[in-house]
Amino acid sequence: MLWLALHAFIAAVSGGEIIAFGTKATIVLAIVGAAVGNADTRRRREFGMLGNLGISKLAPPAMWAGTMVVLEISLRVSLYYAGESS
Amino acid sequence: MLRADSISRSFDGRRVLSSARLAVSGGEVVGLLGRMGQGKSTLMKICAGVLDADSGWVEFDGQQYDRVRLSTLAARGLFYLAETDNLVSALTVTQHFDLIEKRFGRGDRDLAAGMMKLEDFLGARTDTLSGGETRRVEMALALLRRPSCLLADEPFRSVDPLMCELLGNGYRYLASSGSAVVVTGHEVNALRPYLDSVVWVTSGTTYELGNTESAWQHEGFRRAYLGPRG
Repeated sequence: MLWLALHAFIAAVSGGEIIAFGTKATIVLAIVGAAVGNADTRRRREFGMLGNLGISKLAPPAMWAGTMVVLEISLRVSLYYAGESS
Repeated sequence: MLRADSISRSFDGRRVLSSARLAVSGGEVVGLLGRMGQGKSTLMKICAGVLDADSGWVEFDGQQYDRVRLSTLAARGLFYLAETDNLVSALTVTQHFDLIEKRFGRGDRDLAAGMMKLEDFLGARTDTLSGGETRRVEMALALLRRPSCLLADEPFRSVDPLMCELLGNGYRYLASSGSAVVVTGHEVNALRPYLDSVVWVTSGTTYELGNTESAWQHEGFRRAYLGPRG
């Protein structure tokens, strides 16, 4: 949702153009995603239960960051092929 | 089962624990007792892997660790009930049961819910439960998990006497099934019937006082913690 909202915002301010981030911006996005994931897990009070389930504290931030990176790469690939076909 | 030795820990230069020790075997319920601010919760957190010690080690299930995480210990059979935030607020009681069973295999859900008298609110979100109900749900999760070691930090806090009995029976049930159990708390008279032995935490270190009878007769423990009516 965060990723979608970010790209929707960029599309809105750039007159409807969908822009994929470069490598450095994607890394920053992943770091922000990890921080948001950590804060969200804390807000939902999930760390205690996750710990008792044998799941590392690093898992939620890593999942958030990983999801951001996968979505960003997917967008970049999609835009590449869309550019090729047109 | 669980052993911690030579544990020291400071916060902002203030030493909370020095050379503290805790040992608990399967089938035993140990009470970790002592005045506020003496380091009980700190020692529990270090044993559970949610806080690092400055020095010392924790041994669990035959493996010794200088630094360890709860996730590692939990995968090997430890279950830790902190003072707060053990449940996910957005999930129902049943969903918590589902998580435990998905991760660790099928348990006796009926027994866990029945022992803690949860039948009436299995479908309730945990953020709608009272303090006592929350404690019972946490205990039911422990019963469902069947841990080799349970660490429960102040489980009797804000719990009425009848609920204390339910929780206490839960500890005894786990111990009779071979689990090692450590509980902390200040409700000493409520805790006493369920304890096999007492470890006194005072001035940052620990003293093994033996069974409850000898602990309650210990002059220093009586004077410094239980008080005249203890």
